[in-house]
Amino acid sequence: MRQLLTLAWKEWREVRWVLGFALVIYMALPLIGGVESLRMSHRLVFEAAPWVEYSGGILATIVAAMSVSRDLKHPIAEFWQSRAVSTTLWLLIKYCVGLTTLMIACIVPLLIEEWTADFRSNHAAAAIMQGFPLVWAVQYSLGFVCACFVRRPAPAIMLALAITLLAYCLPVILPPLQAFSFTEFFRGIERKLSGVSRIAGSASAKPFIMAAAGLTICCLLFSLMAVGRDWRVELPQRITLWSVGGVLLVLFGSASFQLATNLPILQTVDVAPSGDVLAIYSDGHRGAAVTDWGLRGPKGIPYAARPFTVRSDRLEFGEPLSDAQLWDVRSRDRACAWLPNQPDLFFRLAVPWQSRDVSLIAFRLSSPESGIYRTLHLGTAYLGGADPQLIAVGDRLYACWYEDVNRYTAVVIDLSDMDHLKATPARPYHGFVAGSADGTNYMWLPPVPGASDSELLTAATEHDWLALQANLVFEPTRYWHHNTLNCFKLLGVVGQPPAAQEQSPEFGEPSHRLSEGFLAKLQRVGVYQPTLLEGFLDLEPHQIRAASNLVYLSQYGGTLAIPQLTVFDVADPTSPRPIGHFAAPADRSLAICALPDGKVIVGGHKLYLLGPPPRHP
Amino acid sequence: MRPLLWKEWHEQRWKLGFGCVVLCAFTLIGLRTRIVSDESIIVATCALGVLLLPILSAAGLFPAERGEGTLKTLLALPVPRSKVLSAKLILGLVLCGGPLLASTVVSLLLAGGREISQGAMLGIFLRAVASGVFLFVWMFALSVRSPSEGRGAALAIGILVCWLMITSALIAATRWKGYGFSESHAPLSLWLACPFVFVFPPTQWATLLGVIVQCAIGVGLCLLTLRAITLTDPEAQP
Repeated sequence: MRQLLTLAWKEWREVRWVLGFALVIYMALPLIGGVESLRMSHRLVFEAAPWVEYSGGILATIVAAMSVSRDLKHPIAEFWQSRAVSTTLWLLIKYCVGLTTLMIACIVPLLIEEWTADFRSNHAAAAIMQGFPLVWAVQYSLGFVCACFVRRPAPAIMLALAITLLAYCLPVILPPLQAFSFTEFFRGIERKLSGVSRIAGSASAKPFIMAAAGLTICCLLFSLMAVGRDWRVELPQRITLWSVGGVLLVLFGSASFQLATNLPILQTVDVAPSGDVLAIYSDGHRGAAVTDWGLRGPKGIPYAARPFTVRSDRLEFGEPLSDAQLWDVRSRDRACAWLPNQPDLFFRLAVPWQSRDVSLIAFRLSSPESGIYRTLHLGTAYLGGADPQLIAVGDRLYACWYEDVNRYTAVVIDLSDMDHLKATPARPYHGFVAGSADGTNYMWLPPVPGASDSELLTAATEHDWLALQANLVFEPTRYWHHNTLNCFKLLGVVGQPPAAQEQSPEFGEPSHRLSEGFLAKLQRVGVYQPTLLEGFLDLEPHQIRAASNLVYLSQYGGTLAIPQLTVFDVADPTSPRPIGHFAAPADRSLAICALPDGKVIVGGHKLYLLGPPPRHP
Repeated sequence: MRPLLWKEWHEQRWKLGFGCVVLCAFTLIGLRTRIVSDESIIVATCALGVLLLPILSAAGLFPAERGEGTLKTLLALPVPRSKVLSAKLILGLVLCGGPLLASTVVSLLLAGGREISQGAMLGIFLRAVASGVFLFVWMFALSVRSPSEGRGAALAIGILVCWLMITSALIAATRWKGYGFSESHAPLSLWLACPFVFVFPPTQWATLLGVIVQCAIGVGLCLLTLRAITLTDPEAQP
């Protein structure tokens, strides 16, 4: 016992600098941030979690490698061998004292954060305290074993960090190893603490905990064997650097080739220099793109529409239509409509600047100089804020906007006689897919009397987040960093909404009142769960379109801040699978328009015509 | 001079190979897979090169010689010390610039004019090479007395962190101009002395002026290094 205490005292003397150093770093830096917040918001906020989260693992590796290397150097190692002390006991005490000191150094600042936090919604410190100690133990053990073999601190640290990187990234990159991912494990803890799901996290926690514990024990056993049998690995700088560089390249290459762009670019057009493409409409033969030029647009007007004709492998563009009468600052892509049966006309809802008058205007794409072709005054009380919406339903248009916060106004405009346009009041509509208690899903349809079922369904799926193909409806949903693709089978159109009690709690009554009208009944037949690597990108869905057994999903934001287009093969809707990717050089979400032959028009800073995915005939 | 260059080349060429392989492979994979824009990949390659290559080069020259105990032998040779310094400096510059220039060639061949013009691509790489080279001169000069490669690398990392923090502060102070301040609060003299002036030029003519100021600083640092190795006694025990 005396020997044990002596050894523990010696180890503590050697590693106590870690405690001092870490406490200074993890408490002084948050305190500086706290003083800053006190000055800005008159509230002292002590946030140690980010510091501990990002540097705790590196500290663990450094501490382990340095403490072992020091005692295994040439003269000191011989000194230890000459003592009547068991190597196993000495090494175990070194391991335990170092790890305990590290844990105290990392957890104390988090406890202080938890204690001083005056709001309970932020669970960062609690989540780190629950999830990271295992990771720190693994990293400490890796540093420990590397130092036992290499016996020099710098190469041991580099080697341990390279192995850590592999252990962290391989489960993200290789789908069969996903169960061992720390990312999933930690997200489970975050979900649990946030109360999002009571069972979330429990499914993925066990494999990770077992893998981490197994790795830690293996490292410790190998350390004991390496020191006991005097195993050494000569690791020159050259091998160390090539190992680290090789690991990084393998990881980067594996991840990149899984998400690689594989859609051929048939044409790139700079339709709005220094601007963006907001929306694209096409029937496969003709179409129009709505562009935002910022303040550099033609005649100083930010918005313009550019008509185009689709050829076999290219688009031919006409002159942009941009006029102060046609485009005001409140024009948005959702307030525009283009009908395949009237391809020369482009419609939009106009709300002149400093006015509350809402009008429908139509102009001819083939004659940009002729100005407004038709105007129809719709209302005098546009609230602003939320954009007005214009939806094409067969040869009619459905327009809706807020008159005040509680009053949603809608009209149906008959376009059969362009010389005598007329609007009739309609029920409000706010399309979405809602679940019900019995597992059936419903999709609201625009309440346009007299329209056929197929016209209503097509109109409803013009919405950014719904796509229709034959009797299938596709919808992307986002749940806790994951975008899933839901495939629904249409069961039929029903005339009446279900009783209020059948609505799921998430979509409660206000939405129900907004969307009084026709319904389509849906049954979910398939869902695509993204791989961990795809989830790691943390993208938001933007638009979804479907054509010829392919679903095109445009996503934006996320880790890389690069908008992406993913193409799914839905020939078998029960198991949609991604077959194409495209990352556009833009800093905004991509507008997409799927063509019937599998090609797709994508708009970001430029407009791209992309060929079908390679595996799609 | 030629034998000195041959010696340095013989010792350091693997680092050149390592830098070229890693940076070119990174560029090749990034530009081939296109998971992000070409410009993002090129900027990431440049960042990797500027942050790693100067440290690798600076720590492997004088500090490595000291650590292995071969500096005494080198300085005891009947060769002017300025030539020893020049040989190491030339190899260091090749190690810093070579991999980035190799990546430039790969990028131009694979994606020149695809998303960004060849001129713009070349401009990004040349700015990165300039920053990397001048950062190397700082590290080379200040780590000349380091007793081992490890300590030299630690010092080089310290210098890098210092310049990164100064650059961040300068960028923040420059951006104040757009947030209600009438003018930039970043002192121009500090901007011009910063090796990252080529990557984040505060004004259009700052790049040109920066080259002049950085060259002057580089000459000064080299003279400082020469003085440091001149004062090194080859007979002294390490």
